[in-house]
Amino acid sequence: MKVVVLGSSKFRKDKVRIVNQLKDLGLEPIIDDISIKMASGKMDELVKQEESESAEVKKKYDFIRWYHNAIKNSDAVLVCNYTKNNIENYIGANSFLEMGDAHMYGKKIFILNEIPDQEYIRDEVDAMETIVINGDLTKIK
Amino acid sequence: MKVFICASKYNYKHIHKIDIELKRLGHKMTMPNYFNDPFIENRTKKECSIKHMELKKKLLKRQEKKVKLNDVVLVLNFEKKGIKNYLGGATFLEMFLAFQNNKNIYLYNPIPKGILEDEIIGMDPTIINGDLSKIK
Repeated sequence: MKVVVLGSSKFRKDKVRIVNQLKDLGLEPIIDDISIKMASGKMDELVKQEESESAEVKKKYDFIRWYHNAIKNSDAVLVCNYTKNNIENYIGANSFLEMGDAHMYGKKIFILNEIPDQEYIRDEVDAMETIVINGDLTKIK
Repeated sequence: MKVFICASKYNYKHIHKIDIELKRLGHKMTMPNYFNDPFIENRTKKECSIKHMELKKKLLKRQEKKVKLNDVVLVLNFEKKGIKNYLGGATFLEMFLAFQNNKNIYLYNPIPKGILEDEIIGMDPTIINGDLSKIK
């Protein structure tokens, strides 16, 4: 089962950890190479640039289109939502769009933790029929 | 040109005037979902959460069709409840659909500050600052 691992770029280390756990479960996790390199400390300059020029970095590496194609060719997505900027179970704008993408393609949408209380996305996320797995990766099937 | 108008339901009140001007400029418009009954969602949400979810699902699918059937998307991002140039989750998804389908995206007002800002910049919309003649 091909699972695209999504979530804020700030969670890249957690996402790589999840990728490895999914592999151990016999699944086929998908994440971009740049995120893996950034998580391993090989691209610290880019990490710094992303903090101040996030939009430019996304454009440069064409992440929006890369993930769009990855989702299209997958079976499911897993949204890794941890605490960010004091928002519990944070789902950012980019992840929200990718969830929309997955929904349009009829892919299963798994959310690692509870759906956050973020007003601007709540209704839309509910309509996407997501599956909250509360950290239990074995629920991805 | 075929123009799909997107806006928060709280901003539907601005559409009539804009529609008249766009028609004068020779465009053909597609109105947002439930343009004639903007608060159906709020009512359904109060009545039954399952019905509300079903309605939202239907709307998400309908948005996709509307984006594909039009040449461009015009986002009317006026103030909502004190938030300048407001753009909500559903409209944000419509913009993304337009981006994926290589449709030009026009924003009536500047990009709102906040959590959606970076992604909106990434979609490369044209800010028209109220000048509808820029839609071409």
